[in-house]
Amino acid sequence: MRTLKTNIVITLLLLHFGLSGQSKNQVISRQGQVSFFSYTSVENIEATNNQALSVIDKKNGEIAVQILLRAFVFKKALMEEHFNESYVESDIYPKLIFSGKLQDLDFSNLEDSPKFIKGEMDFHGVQKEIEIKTNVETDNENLILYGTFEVAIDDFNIKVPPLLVPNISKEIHVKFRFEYTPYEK
Amino acid sequence: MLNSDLNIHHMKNRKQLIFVLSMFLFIVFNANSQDLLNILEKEAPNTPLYTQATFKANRILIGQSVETRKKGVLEFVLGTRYWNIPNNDTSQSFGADRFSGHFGMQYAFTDRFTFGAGITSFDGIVNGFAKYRLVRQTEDNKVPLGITLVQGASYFSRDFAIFSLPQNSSERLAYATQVILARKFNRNLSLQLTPTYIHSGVNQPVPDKKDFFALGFGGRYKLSNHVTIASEYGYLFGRDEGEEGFNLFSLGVNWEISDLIMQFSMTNSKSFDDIASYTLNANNFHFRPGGLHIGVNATYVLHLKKRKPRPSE
Repeated sequence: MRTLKTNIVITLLLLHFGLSGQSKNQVISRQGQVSFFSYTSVENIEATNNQALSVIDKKNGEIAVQILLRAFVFKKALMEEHFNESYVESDIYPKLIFSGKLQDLDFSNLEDSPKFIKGEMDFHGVQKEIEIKTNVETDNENLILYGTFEVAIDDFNIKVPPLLVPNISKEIHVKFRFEYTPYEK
Repeated sequence: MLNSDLNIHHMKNRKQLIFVLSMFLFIVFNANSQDLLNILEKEAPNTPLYTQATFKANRILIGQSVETRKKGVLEFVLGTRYWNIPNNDTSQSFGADRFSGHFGMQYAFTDRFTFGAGITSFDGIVNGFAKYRLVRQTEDNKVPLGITLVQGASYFSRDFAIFSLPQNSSERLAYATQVILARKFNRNLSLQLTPTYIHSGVNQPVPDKKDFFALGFGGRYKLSNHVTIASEYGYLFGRDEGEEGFNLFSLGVNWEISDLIMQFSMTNSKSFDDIASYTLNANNFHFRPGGLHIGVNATYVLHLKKRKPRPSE
């Protein structure tokens, strides 16, 4: 009886470590690049973040992205301050978090073709379901995702003062590139 | 009896087993999307972030603030101040009896070091200052306050109001050394304390007294994303308030829009200068002619060095 129980516990332990030690299934990108652009006839605004983080679980295609808003670099320092203080309010909402799932991506047979990512974007206190088209590329067995999409600032409750409405585009063009390597704890 | 005892023992064990089993299952099945977010949390870069926008400009309204601009920023300051003179009911002047204008420039050589200079029409003061940001407050509160050092020098070129200045031009220089201590308590509220040492060659406002200590208080409260109210008080030690001038008070609104910052103020000071605004205020603050000076400082921010936001691919 005792030995049976011990065996069960040991089996469960092994099973547990076998399943949770799934780091070989997880890939990470620590220096993902995310840029955004707002083009209007009055002013062009662009900013880049080179520290975007993303993890993919190859087992089920789940993907998570975390972007620190303070890490966006603008051409003009004052613009960066205004972006953080008055628009995205990064003191209250410091991060943008996206978590979703890569749609029908077969990791055992990767091909360079566009795929969709469906998921929820949590930004500026607003959670919104979005779908992003991404290009998939493999480079020495490392996964690369890159692409562009549009974000409407109204969707995320970002207020623009009336005087500056002509300066800031309603649709922000976002460009991303993540290069994944195996995740080691 | 022995049997039932064994049974209870058995039951206990089974319960434990179920518990252990369910724990394992729980852990295994929970290794999910939450897991990915946990990894992100763990891997998040841990770089210290400096607190932004304790105040909106190099000046709270009239006096220096803890802020400096980022490297390569040139600022143009255009200041105006209007007031009425007392007992002047027969005045023919339109709008206000008196006007003073100020023009200044400030350049940030580094993120920490700023140099500025300016000139004012009414009191004829030419001033310059060097500002060094010694300690910057951080978001995580490991550094709870910011410290900025300011060294200013002013040249008084003519008499104004009740103050008559020495004839000898070498005696018309004054220096101010300030240690600005400021803390942004939350997104809305920032407070500042400014111990100031002033060496004044001008023999004013107290005859034969050249060294003064002053203590400046400043604060801002954010009303909306683009509007803050700000106020200052400057106490000068070692003078009879009254005949020898009054302490500085100001109350106003900062409004920023894109590259422009407008600072609307009500104050008892006629001056735009760091020294004269502490020492040479002829009137106390009140809303009758003489006490009330209304002004706007417009600061235009020009980025001479554009940073490169693009990744180095």
